[in-house]
Amino acid sequence: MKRFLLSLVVFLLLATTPANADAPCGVVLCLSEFSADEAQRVTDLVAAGRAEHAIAFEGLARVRATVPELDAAKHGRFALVGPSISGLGDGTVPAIIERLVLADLGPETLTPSARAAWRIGLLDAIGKLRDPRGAAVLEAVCRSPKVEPETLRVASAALGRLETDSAAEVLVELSPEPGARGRAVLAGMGHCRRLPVVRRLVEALPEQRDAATHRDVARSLATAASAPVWRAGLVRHPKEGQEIRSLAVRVLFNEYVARSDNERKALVTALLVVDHPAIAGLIEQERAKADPELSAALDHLARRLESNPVSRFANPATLTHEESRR
Amino acid sequence: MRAIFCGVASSFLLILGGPCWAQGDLIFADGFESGEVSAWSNAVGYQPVPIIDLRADVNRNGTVDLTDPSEDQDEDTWDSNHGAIFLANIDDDEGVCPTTGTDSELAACNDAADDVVNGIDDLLDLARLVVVPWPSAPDDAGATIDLSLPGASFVRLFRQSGGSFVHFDSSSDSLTPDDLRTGVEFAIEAIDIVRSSSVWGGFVDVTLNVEAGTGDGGPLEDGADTVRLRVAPVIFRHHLDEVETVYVSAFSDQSSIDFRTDLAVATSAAGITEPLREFWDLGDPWTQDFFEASIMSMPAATGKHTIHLNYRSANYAGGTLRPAGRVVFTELRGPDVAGAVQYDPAHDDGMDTLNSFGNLETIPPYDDGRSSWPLGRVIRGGTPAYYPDTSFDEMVDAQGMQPVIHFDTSWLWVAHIDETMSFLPAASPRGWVVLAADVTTAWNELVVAQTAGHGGTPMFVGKLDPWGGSAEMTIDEVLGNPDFAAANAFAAVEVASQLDQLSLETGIGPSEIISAAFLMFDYGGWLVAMVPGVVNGVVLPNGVFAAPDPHGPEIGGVDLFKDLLEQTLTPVGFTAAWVEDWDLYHLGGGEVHCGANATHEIPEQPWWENMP
Repeated sequence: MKRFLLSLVVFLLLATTPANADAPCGVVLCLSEFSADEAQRVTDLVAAGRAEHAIAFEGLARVRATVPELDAAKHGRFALVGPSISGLGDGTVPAIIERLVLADLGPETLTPSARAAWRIGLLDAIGKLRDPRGAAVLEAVCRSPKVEPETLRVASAALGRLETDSAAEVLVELSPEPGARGRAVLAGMGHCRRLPVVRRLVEALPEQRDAATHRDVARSLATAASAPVWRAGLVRHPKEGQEIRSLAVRVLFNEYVARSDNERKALVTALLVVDHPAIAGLIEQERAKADPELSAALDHLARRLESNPVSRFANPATLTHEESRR
Repeated sequence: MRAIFCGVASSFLLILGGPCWAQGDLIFADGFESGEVSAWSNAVGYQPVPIIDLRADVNRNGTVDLTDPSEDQDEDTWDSNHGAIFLANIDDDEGVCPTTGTDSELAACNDAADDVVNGIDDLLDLARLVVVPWPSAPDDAGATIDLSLPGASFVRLFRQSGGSFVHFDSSSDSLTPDDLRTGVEFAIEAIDIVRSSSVWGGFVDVTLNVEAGTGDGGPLEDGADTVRLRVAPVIFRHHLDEVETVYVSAFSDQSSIDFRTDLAVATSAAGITEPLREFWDLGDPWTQDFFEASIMSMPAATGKHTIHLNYRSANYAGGTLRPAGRVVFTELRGPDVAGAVQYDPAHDDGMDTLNSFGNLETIPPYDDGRSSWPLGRVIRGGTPAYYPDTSFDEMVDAQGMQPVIHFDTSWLWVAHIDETMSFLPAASPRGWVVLAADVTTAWNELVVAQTAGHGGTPMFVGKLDPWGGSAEMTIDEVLGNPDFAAANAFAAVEVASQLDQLSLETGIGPSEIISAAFLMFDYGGWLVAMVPGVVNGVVLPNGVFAAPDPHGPEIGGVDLFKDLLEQTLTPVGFTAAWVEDWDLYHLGGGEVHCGANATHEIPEQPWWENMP
């Protein structure tokens, strides 16, 4: 009953906030975009979080208050907001969810770049926390047609980091959307190190005609098949690793063979990040039938592989102090 | 010189190669081939002929010599060995430009904005041209000065008159017979730097056109003499030229005090006697980003005369220029110090971070056997799809000295080239080494520490986020995080790609690349320093490198990341001066270099002796 009353109070307070006169809205979505049941669950989650971890909500409010200032003094594409958000403790996830879909100062209080920074910061932070309580909201964000591509890309990565069957399904389902939305999902979904996701990326990579999207998909695939992540076992489904990495290296190499020099740079990067032992053999096989242009490209790839820094990423069992230093 | 010859004796002198000045109308200077002279001599006999000779400092010795044949030789051409040079006179020698006003008003004011010479010091910024006296010029003689297009639109002439220099409008003003008899001294300035080679490449041909009038024997032959001049290119500074002044934005809060205190200690250790020059009230901590120092020089009697030029950054987003960049006009401009801005308002706001000058560095001089770049080359982050303001880069290229090389920094959150590489002077055949971001070593060092049982050792001890949360994390937490593992794999490969490109461009080898070990993290799909980026420091004289305090894990009382950088710097004769930048810069995605700027010593060897 206590939790219900808290939820009710939160809901009513938010619903009557002047900036959100019609329905509770956060910086990305409005609660009205959820089903009634889901909206209630989200409201409950936030209410419970506020009751148990008020300090996180207060902390996030302070972060939010500084966003305009951070934006005014930003040093990169956007203000760097997120790293601090993730340090707010156990209440961080409900506090972020509140800001995403329930309550935030009206968007008119932020410039477009500040708003983008705030959204990216919130979504990046909740994603890195890998807390399943964020799943429903992240899925809703990804599904919402009004979410712009930049935000969708970060939201897809955040959802993907959960590495659940459900997350993988949603991402695969959304990835064929036409235009910028589909490209954003493809770019972000590589953080979901799951076979269905990788199969979808493997399918999508050769389809890309736009160089920037091709680069993003290659990068996404390399993220999914990243050598240091799999070697260290920093995954939820280690049994999928062998197939994921094999699929990735093969399609990346095939694309390297098929594409022009302009597109190969991103493929070299991806292949080096994947750092799969099969790559040397693939190069040798292709060399036999390569024309001079491709032969030169293969030489370049082989040379880069010889000095691949990822292959020097530590194996904790065997690395000596001297070996770790150049 | 193009003059008319008048006698056999003079022809003899010319064949001997000696100058023929100061012998009345019968002698003329060099500039004719002997055969040419003889032919003319035969044609006109002993008829007195005009002296039509316009001179400039073609031999680049800092003076206009009327008796030195090298001053006249090939004066209408310009190459690396000869040719006159002048300056864009866009400083403010009398300090009269306003320090308030609109961006346009600030940029519009400089000594070349009016048609008067702005004091004695301003005159030093102007190169000289001399019309050699023709003492017997007849009363009906006269002359004009022509300026070639498109340079004519970018230069202004002054003529000496009554002890001062007054504007000479070549479209309407002319020289009188008396002017021709006594000779005339001109001063020339460019009213702007070269911005685009498609508009103006920096050259101007100045032609003296003489209508010679009537001599005792009848009409004299008219003639003309042309001198080609080039406006001094703007030269960006590299790390082999020692820092003289360090600039920093200043705030009253403790983080700024800590930063400035440590930086002052570093500069003092480097032997820099001048205190930090602090910019208060700018509201922009990123001092590296909003302006860039450069120089432009011309020959002078003392060797060279230099105007410092500070560029305001081309950061133009949301319909406005970055406000802090006004400092180049409001605080830095003055005698022999100019300010300028070049930007395209249509440049995509989403790429604006690339216009910050943390994304403009200069490779020191190199010669890889295929090409020689004795002034180095400008490097910037940029790809075909994600690039800095093209009008700015076009301007850099148009100087013809240090054309831009773009590296892919699009994978970085901030996307500045200073996040991954710097250049240190070194006692090596090349004279410099590359200090490069090295996440592999950093990662591996943590693994070694973990393997040795130090996995629980925290880094960033005592460091807070701005809202009071602890930034601490242990080695185990770092190594156990897939996001860090994936991000640093990308970082390692991307930096390797940059170094591969740098190697192809410059010929550097692995032994010339030294390690700056730190880690990055993924933020929104881009990478940014997680451990303070120790590559992103300030190179100071006497082997001092002002680097961000990495606050690494301390094992046995030794900061692991400090130790790594010190070990890499020592062999190249550098020591690290640690600067606290966590709160003010690191948390915002930048480091020490991003928060500082510098003026470098003027190199001894001028650019015209050092051209690519």
